[in-house]
Amino acid sequence: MSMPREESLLEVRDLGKYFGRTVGCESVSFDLWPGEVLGVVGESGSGKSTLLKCLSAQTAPDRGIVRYRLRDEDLCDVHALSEARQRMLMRTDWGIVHQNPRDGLRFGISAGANVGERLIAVGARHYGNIRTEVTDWLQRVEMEQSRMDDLPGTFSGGMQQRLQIARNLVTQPRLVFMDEPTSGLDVSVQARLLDLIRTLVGTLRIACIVVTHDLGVVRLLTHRLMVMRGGRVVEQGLTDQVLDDPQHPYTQLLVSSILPV
Amino acid sequence: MSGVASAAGGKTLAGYNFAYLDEQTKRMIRSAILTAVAIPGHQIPFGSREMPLPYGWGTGGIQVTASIIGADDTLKVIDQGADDTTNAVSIRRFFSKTAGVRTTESTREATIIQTRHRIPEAPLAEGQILVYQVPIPEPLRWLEPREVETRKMHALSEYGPMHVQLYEQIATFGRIAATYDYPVMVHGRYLMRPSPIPKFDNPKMDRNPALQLFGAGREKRIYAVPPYTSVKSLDFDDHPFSVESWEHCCGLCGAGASYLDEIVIDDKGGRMFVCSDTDFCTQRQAQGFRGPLNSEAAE
Amino acid sequence: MEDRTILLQATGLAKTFTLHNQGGIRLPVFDALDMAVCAGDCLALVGPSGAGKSSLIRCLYGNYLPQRGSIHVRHREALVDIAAVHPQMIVEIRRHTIGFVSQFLRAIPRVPAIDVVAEPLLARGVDAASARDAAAAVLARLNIPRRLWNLAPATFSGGEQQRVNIARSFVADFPVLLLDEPTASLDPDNRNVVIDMIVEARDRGAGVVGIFHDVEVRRAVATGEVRMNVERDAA
Repeated sequence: MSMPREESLLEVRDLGKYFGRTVGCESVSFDLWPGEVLGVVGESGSGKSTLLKCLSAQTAPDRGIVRYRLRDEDLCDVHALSEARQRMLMRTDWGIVHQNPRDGLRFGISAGANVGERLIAVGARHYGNIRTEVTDWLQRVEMEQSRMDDLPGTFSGGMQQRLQIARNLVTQPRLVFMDEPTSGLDVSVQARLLDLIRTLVGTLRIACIVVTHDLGVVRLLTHRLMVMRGGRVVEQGLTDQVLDDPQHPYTQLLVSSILPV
Repeated sequence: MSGVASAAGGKTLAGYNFAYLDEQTKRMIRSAILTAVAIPGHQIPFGSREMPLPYGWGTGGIQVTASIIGADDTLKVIDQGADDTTNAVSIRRFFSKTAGVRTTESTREATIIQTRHRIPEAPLAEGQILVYQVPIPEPLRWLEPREVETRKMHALSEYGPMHVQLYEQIATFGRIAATYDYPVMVHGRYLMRPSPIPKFDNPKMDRNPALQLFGAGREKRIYAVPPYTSVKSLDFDDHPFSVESWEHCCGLCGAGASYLDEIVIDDKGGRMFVCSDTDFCTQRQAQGFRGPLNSEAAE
Repeated sequence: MEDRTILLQATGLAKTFTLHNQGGIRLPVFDALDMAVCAGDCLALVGPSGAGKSSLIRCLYGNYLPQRGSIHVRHREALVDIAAVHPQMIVEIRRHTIGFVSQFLRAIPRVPAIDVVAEPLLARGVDAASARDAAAAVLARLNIPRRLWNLAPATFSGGEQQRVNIARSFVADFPVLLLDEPTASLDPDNRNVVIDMIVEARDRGAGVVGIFHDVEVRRAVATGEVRMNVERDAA
């Protein structure tokens, strides 16, 4: 198989996570390239969220390895890193956009502070510069500057998700994990958010792993798709190929189950 | 000598151990103190005891003092800078009764100074110990309610959130608005709450020749700043740390660089500013210094 | 001298659909199919409805997965087999080498037409202003009224949507173009514009594979034909 010339950003081999006798996820292997958006679909309980947690070092896998290419070009075993370095990675080179904004934002501090916190965490100590950069990012996610000093609790769901994205992208991460980023939003808000994510990810060449059960989201957002069932990847390939010409019985069922509008 | 010193009789109240606490407890607390001194700014848990006064009245400071005090020590206790407030008076009497130690109001004479909310104006010297009463020891508590998480943040020096708090203040008020319990970095490593002292006192903590001990009774934590340890107040490059200043000087002693309390003196809006450190003020007046509202006393 | 560089070549290509959820029915589409497109060629796929013309185009684009055979495309001077390459490589090939006009426009809701058209250039790293200028030029040529440019195509008429779709693939001079009935819902004027654009693409050395139901269009643009027949049911 001819591979892209660029070096991969993430290498996952034979990843497995078990909860007693229950399989969380099993035998998952793939590579991710810089700027590539990978979708992971499957119904509830298919193991996609467990996989995301293992990949993003939130849960230790029971077997297999996740290797990430650091900025110094070395591939490192994510789960062998010290907790300090893992947390540093999450604040700088990685981003995590949670399904529920309450998991990804601090509701006790203003929108601007939510974004500024990531800059401060990596050493920014000039208020004026932080303020300028936060303003810039709030504009990029189409938020009014006048809401900068308001608490996230006063925002709509769509605004909270956009704020989460600004908070994650402000440190210019190279890899962002998204867990159902648009579920729970109105359809009209979803479209705008999807376009925003796609544009930002595209222009900044951020690699993304998007976990969702929404096939519409993966079609619009992702280049490549993994279909999971019972903790295993049953089919993977180019997103439009998997959706338009699914090979596995389960994928065919999934695709044929989409309700027509 | 201006301090009111009690006689060091060495006589203690019958039925109580020296300085109230039993020896086993004192050893446990001293062990926590030693660890705290070894890791400046790091909070050490200890088995805080029931004391004969309620939490919030200085039970942490009293237990630290009780554990380090000896019969030949001289104790000073201040509350908001004053030696003569209820809290200060009762703690001083507590130790003079249970340990029979000499007490004083003079900063210079004291070997141990237990304090609530102030650091004395007079410079401290080597060999002196300053014991702070601490209500809430965890500087990150306002942002992160989980103890497990705050400990991890300390372990990994993840102190960004503290600057976020300062950021919020600048965004809201145009400047860093914290005036007391102002967060500091100790020895470039641990973030520490200096207890609710005014930020005016923060610079005094830096490289102070005295040993500074902090006791939180309800929260069961002890921490310390050993002599000559660097203590830096947090700030931003473009919003540097600064201390309060007053247009007035002390109405009684005329001091222009001490921490002043505002006192309302009549029901017509009359007020005066006086040193919060009563000993400092008394000493200056004894040396002949006079403030603008103290001219009659000058005669 | 004629440039006979092969741009796209399918060899021994076979496509069968297996419907696992409908009793495992197998629907053969084509088998042992060979074809080659050189620079300047425009191959028209001809045959009755159901002969697999669209499926072939989709295989060539990497959208459908062939069961056998190879599809070599000249990508950055080298021949790459789309049927065997890593998906990430197909994304790269689509960004630089193969343009595709599908029968229906599929775009993110609420994105303005001009941005939909400019996107292939942006994906290549062209700066936003130049990409928008190029997109505006193609939209103008295809007679999309200027007042529609900043509106999302979802509200457009069928013909307008199809022209946005065409503009999207012609904005960035792709070396290989796959056209699935590009002129199906167009009026004669616009149809002629598209014919001109295809001929121009051919003249600049692009290789084109298309399905053109309109005989006039086919006569105007095609330099050759690939004949396809309905496969008989598998035994």
